[in-house]
Amino acid sequence: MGKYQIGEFEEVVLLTVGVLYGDAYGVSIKLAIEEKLNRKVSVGALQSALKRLESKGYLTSKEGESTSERGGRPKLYFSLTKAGRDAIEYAREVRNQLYDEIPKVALDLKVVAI
Amino acid sequence: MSKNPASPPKLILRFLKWFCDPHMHRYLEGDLLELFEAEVSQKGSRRAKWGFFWEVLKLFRPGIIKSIYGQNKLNQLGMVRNYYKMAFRSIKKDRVHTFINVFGIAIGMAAVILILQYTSFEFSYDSFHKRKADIYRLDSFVSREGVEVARHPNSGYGYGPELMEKVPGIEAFLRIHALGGGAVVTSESESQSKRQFFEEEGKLYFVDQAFFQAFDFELLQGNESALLADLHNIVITEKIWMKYLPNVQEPIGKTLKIDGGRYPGTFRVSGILKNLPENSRFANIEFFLPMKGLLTAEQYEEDDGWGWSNFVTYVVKEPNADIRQIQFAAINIINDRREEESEFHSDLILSPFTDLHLRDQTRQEGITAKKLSFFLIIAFFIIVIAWLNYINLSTAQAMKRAKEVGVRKVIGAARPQLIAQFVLETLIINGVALLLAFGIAFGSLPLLESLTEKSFTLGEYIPVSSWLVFFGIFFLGTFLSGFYPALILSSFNPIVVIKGTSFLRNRKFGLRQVLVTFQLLIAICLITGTWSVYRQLHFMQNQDLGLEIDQVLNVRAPFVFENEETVVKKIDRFRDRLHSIAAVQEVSVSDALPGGEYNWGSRLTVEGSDEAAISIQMMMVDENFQNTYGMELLAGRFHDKALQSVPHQIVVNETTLEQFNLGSAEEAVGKRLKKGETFFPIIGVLKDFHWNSLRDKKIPTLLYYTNFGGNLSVKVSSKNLKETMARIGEHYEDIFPDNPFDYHFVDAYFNDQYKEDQQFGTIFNSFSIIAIVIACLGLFGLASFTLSLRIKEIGIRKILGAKVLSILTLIFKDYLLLIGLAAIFGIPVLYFLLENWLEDYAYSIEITPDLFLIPVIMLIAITFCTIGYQCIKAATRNPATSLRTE
Repeated sequence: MGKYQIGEFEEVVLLTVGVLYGDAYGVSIKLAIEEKLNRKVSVGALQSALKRLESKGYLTSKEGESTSERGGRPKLYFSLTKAGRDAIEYAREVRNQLYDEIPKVALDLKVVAI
Repeated sequence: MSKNPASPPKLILRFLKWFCDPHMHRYLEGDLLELFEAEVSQKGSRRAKWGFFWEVLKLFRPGIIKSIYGQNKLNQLGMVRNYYKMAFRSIKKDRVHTFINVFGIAIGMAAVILILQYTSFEFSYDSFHKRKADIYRLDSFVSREGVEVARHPNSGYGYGPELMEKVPGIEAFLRIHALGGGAVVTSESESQSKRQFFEEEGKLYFVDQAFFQAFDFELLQGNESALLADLHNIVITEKIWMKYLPNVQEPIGKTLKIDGGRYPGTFRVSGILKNLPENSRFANIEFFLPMKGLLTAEQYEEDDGWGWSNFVTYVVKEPNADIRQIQFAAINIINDRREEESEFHSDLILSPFTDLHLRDQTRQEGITAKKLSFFLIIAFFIIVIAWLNYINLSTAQAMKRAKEVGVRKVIGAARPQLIAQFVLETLIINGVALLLAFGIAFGSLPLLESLTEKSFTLGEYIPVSSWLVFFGIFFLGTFLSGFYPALILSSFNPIVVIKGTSFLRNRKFGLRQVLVTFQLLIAICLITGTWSVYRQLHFMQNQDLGLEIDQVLNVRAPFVFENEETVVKKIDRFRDRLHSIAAVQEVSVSDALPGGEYNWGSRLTVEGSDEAAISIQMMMVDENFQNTYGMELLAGRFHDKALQSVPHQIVVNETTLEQFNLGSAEEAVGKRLKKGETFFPIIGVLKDFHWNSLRDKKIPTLLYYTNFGGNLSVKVSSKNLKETMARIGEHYEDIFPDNPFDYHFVDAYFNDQYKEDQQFGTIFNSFSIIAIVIACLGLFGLASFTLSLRIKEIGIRKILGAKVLSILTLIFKDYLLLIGLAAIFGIPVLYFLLENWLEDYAYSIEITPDLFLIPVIMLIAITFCTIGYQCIKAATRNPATSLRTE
């Protein structure tokens, strides 16, 4: 993946943060991933991915307002940085490029097999 | 729903707070609480709480756990981190020295672990019996005028019962007796074909029922209290079950037929023992036959159990009984029994069972505590050498670290801090080495196994206390080897060091020289030890035995036969057939075999003399024995089949003449020895021969005539050996169809006696080589350093006209001096140790100067090889390059 070293789960997290623009914090990201991708996400896995992405400079965080919900605990909102957007862009390009290079025959065959 | 639906367990929240990075904690807890609330409304509080618990547990991972260095740096951990960093930098910077240190210490530690493994195994012998401390063996102690003559582990079968009856405090006795000569064992069962094998002597034992109560061997099947209740019961191990009755699920009640020994017959399997543990003195026994049955054999019927003395008796005392009183009572009993007052005095000594493996007073050979302590000392030396290397190299390297120390001091480091830093560095190196050592030890375990012929798992048998000692020595050694260099390094005056002037004094006799001398001394000791062990073994194996045992094949005589008369005829037929094979030169029948036991021992007197009876050993052989084994006749004739009209003819050895005062060989022929009313006319005298290993002295021996025995010795020529053996086998199977063809070479059998010596030698050699390699590594490192200090000196000398040779002499001279010193200190110690070791051998090499000289020369050669390359490089270096820099 060249200069952008991100794993599959990290990519999903980055994308979701982008999708949730402005409303991306722990729970919302978790629920969004669970809903869209139909897979279980533990708080631990998500938090360490977020922390990793932040230290790599793909995400920034900002403390939100405290409400009476959540035991008075504030939310920590995440948003994409320029590097984060580049990373998603790059990942997408690589995939598209690879997809385009698949010979047509291979795809046809697969259709037939189904 | 409970009263307070939306509250997650407090304890888990606290746990989270405890481990979580405080920067993240607030948000994380918020997220978790939000999720929890949602869960509660969806799934109910119980499942939500479980879910919460799991989520928190899954958060316990790196990245979320708070840094161990803490948030507020109120301690000096930061400095310690810096020490680590510096340690790794200096380790990386000087790879050769790091390698020498880590590798040396690792090898040394690995050697210590392996030796610990081996010695622990030996020390663990029979330590698993619960009653071990209450068990004693009855030994016979023979003395003449108060001086010990012999001590042997045997007793009569009557000793046990009598002690049990008359001495209070004895709970049980048990006797064991080997089935002499081995036996052929046959299994026949409806469900499988017949299986028949020859089982060697030592695998079959007659034991008392109490054996199974006194010793804790695991019983897989059978009734423990009545294993040998019947005269025809037999207890076998799992291995034997698999060998003879592999397809039988219920072996109890099946029968085994045993041919051989004094109590042959068919025996019913009454118990299966788990294979005996390797660390037991009984580990070789596979068949347990009833002692009661053996005692019904004809020869024992008429005896009261005090005449036959080749049984081994153990007694079990009551836990509270005083062993001294029992010992006293036992001596009284034997005093009552003593018939006539002879000059030999025999006593019963109770030897503690726990002493038998390593401190058995009745034998000298084998693994003894003495040998094990030799190994432990070597192990200790190896690791000490490695640590001395470390001290030498790191003090020699001090200059490279001097600036660092200077800067630290200027900034404000106190001396204890600097010492701590360098000790920590040592600890890192030793820690890495220790990990490596376990790896090396694990990897070389198979080597140890093949050396000792035992199987090991790393750590097995090693008691916790040994590990404590091991780690104690490890930490102490690490600390001491780190402390001295730390002291030197931290003593530098910062002003001098930073200025960059040379400040290290290169004294002629600094501590470094002392340490190197000490290493060389150890090296001399180990090389001499290796050399002497080799010489002694070589001496023993190449000594003229007076017997030619090369190219003699021993074929086991048939065990399964109807009666002696027919089998003697069959043996004659077999012998004739063998003579028809061109390669067969001689065939002889005998009961005893060189390197094995004697057949009989008795006490005889000379006819017409009133001197006391002297003990003499007897072998039963036929008329061809002399030629088969190439024995030299001094006078008279050997046995002759045709000249047997006079009964009890004997041929004796030279030692007999001396001890019985029979005069010269010619004079002795015709004289008679006597036992009671039986007379033994001497018909011939043989030159002395070594019947057993050279550990044993030559003793009076006589050869008695027999035409039937357990061994057929066949002298063959070395050509086409394979074919000859095949043909002998064919004839054997043809004539003795019920017997398996079993053979071995007599020289191999004889040399088996030296197996333990060889093992000792190999183990000793291997570890000595390791020690010497480590010492060489140290020399190498030190030489490279001291030479680098002298480069300019050498350059100047060369410019002034010194030749390469004279420079080499200059360098080597220092080392020669150290070796010389080591030799002067080492040789007296060695002399003492060697004398101590050779004492165990009746025939040993003499301690001559070359025994020490050769190792010293070897050490000089090794030293020069180690440092030679560097020296030559330094001496041939172009002085222009070495002087240019400044």
